[in-house]
Amino acid sequence: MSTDAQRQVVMTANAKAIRVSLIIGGLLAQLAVQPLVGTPVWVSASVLLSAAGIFSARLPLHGDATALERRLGGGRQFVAIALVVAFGLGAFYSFYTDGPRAETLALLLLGAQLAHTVAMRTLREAALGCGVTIAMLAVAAVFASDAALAVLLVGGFACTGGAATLIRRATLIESATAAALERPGAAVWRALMPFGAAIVVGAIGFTLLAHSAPLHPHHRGGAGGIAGNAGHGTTPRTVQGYFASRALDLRTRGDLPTTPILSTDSAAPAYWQGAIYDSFDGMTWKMPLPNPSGVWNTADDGTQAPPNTGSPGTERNDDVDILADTESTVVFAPGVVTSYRGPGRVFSDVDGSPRVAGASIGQYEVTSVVAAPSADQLRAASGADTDDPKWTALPASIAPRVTELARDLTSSSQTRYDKVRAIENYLKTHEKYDLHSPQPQAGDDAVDDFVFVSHRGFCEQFATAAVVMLRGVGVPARLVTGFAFGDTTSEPGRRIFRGSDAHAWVQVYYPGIGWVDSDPTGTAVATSPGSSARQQVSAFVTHMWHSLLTWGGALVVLAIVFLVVFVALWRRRRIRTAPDPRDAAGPVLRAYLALDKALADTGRAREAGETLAEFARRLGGLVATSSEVAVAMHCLERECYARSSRRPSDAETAAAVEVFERLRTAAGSHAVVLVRSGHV
Amino acid sequence: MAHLGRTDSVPRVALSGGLATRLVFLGAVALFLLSAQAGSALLLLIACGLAAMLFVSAVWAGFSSALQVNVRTPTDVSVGVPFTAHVAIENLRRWRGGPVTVRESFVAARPLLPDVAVYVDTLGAKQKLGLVVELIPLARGEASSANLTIETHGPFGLFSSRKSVPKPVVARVAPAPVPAIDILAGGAGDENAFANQGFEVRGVREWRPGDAVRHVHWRSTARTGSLNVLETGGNEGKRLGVVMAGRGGDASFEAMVAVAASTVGNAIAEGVECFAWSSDVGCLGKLTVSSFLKPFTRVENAAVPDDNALSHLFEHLGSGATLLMAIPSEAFSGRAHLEARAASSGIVVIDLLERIS
Repeated sequence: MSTDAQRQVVMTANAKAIRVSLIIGGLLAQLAVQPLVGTPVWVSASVLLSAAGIFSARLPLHGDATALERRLGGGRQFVAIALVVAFGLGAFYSFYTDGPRAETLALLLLGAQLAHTVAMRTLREAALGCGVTIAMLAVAAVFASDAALAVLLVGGFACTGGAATLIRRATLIESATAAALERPGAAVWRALMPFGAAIVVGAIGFTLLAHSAPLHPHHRGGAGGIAGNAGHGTTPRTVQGYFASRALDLRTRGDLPTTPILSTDSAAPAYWQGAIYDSFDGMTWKMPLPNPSGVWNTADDGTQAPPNTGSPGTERNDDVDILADTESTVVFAPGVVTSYRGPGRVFSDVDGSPRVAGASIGQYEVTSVVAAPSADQLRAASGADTDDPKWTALPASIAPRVTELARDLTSSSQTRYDKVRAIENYLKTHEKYDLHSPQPQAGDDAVDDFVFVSHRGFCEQFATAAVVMLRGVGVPARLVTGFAFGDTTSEPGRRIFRGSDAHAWVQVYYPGIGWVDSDPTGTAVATSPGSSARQQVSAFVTHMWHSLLTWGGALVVLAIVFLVVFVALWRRRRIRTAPDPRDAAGPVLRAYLALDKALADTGRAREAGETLAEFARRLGGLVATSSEVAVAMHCLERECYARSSRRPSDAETAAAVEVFERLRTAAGSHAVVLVRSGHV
Repeated sequence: MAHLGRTDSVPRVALSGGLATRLVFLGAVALFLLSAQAGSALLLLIACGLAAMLFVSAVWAGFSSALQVNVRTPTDVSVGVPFTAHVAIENLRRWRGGPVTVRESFVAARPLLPDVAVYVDTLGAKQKLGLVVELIPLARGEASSANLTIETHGPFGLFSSRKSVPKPVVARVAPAPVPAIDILAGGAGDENAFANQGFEVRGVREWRPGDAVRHVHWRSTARTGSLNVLETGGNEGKRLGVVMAGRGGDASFEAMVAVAASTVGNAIAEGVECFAWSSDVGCLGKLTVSSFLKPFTRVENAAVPDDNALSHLFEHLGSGATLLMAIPSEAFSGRAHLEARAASSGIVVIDLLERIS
């Protein structure tokens, strides 16, 4: 094999490793920006990137494109231009319809990534690919925030760092007159090894800096998580904080666990309301104050009931078990509570919502009235309206364009129900349900930010926007938090609610009917937690991420590492114990076969039709002189074919073995020795 | 002659990778600032990742290797004739080293020799590696020194450490061996001053470039299988001079110098006394087999000799000698004067410009 051919073998293997690293890193980056561009675009881009990777895996990468590559590149460039145009149009459409958004930038980066992968021919272009991948990861980190994204970031960085190392290696090989190289596989592993060190250093730096400065975790869990913690924006919300708090800050973010909170004896899914929020200051919802005179009456059997009942609807009884210590004082029920039997004394706040005092809630029996009026009944609702102005009150900080939008939307609605439906439909069709929505900054109007800027949010943003817009057109409305739907359990007839089932929705007052639930979040909640593939994957990765932070996760990692080490040792043992056909050969032949194997592993094997003498001449000059190799080859021939009287002496045998060993050591540790002549 | 370069100190860490390194650094700083402003943990994670890559690359490049390097190159070579350079690298550390590039560059006004550039993926603890590199000299000339550079590359292509060691080595690249003018057998044409002088056969020797076909001794060639020519003798007392005026690197001048060198080489072998003169090198006296290439190697930027120099040269040559004139342009200052002086001194002038054209 000529030196050019050897160089070609090495460079092709190196280019393949570079392309594979870039493709894997690119796929991880695409997964990271998936929340920004949506599943269909993400799937299309992933398929295109994989196809481009498969078709170009064997193409070489040079410092400069060769003439042949330039000719062949015409077709690929056409495809690349088509991709740029397609994604550019998508980005333009996104910009034209919704203004500058993260989606616009993500689409542009996706187009650049795909076009670049298709047209990539040179090492410089490959280096540019590393930059595109890093940019995509950074954009994903800026706009889409989820703890699971950290896994993608680390993976993307590993691939990009490995590719960068291999690109540098290829550049150095190209510029060298001669090169002593490892086997391609070993080179790839060695390129990834420094990344382990970088992970350790980065983790230490991240830990130190994250502890020294407050950070927004920027992640939420489940679907439609509300977790109304009154904490500051920098404090992660918890289920306990939500139930024990009297305020709901729209800036707060938190990862709601899947911890079971309560179970009921009702198998049918429903909205279980807990807290009612009546006042909004533009960023935070507040609960009403306790009513000192609202203590419920207690019957002889211990059942407590409010002084005034009489809500229309269907009455139902439910047994409720509180499964987690939530420090809650809220009585959860699927409707308006009419009686309560359980620990503590119940009193109403000023809006009539029941609260328990004097004992922690563990198990209780609750009777409630569930109103389920039809659309016609709601349209025909008439009678006395609520006269409390707080249900239509809005803070002065609400942007005028929010109420203007509400007025535009409801201008043709004849009834209150139609107004509610018009605003609901607008929010469902114009805003995107996204667990990774950006945080509004302090001083911003959260509703204006949601409806006109980010266009992304989850149940809190949807419900808040609906309440504000409804109040803006004079419709009494309030925000309700509780649990939605839940899951069935192995026990027939029971339903369980987890922290991730927490939800926020709207209640609208209809004259003559009362407060009726309305959910502008709609399909996002109806699909239940993790119902989409992305959500399931995200939930799984999030779960794994948290598991890794626990001892259990650490044990899993240790078990995997142990398994890998065991398999590696077992394979080595198998190789050692396998019968070696060279045992029957003489010492010179054994040494020669070992050399032959080392050279074959590195693309320098003896070619078909090449005599030992020719092979000796080719090997000469590596680490032994041509004459030394020729003598060793002659010794080999004598050992194999000569009569016993002409067999090589012990000294000749030792010398030949030493020459072969020397060559094998050089060829084994440095797989291919490439020599390129200078130019005339 | 062997020249050894050696370094075993810890190299200085220097930025390499240029734009990429600076972009990563700026990106890390920007992301740190952004993460501080937004309080984003994920942005901080990326920033820490980039910073860690920079740190690991710098440390890896700076401390992973301590090497002993020997680069051995021949000092007398000819244009177009391949030669071999021997490179020996030893890792002095007790652990495996990172990728290394060893480069020896010769310092000259124009590129004479290609750089000896060897790239090694990795060297094990205390491991030695020997490489033989074949190179072809690029141009005629003389390099007075060389730089041996050892560069250890950190991962991710960001940082590398570099150590340069100057080597006081003289590398002489002689003109390319080309067919010579057969001045002894009438090859110089009608003006050949040696044409009618003694031509005696002294024996048979192997053919050398420049030997005329008609001198081939077919009988011995057929008998031995190798091309042999008749060796002429009786050239004692004959003199050949060379005057070179031109600029190094000029194609026609280089071609004339190459022809002149080959012709002088053959002439010396035939027993002819040879002299060469150029304004920048001067006259080195009677040329010998071992030293005749020096003036042809060194001449770089020479003018036509003035009257004093011509008088001195013609005095050495004497009447009846032959003068090779390696002056690339007919318009070259002093050329016509030189031809006139030579004619008046009874010296036959062979214009190499006509020969190469």
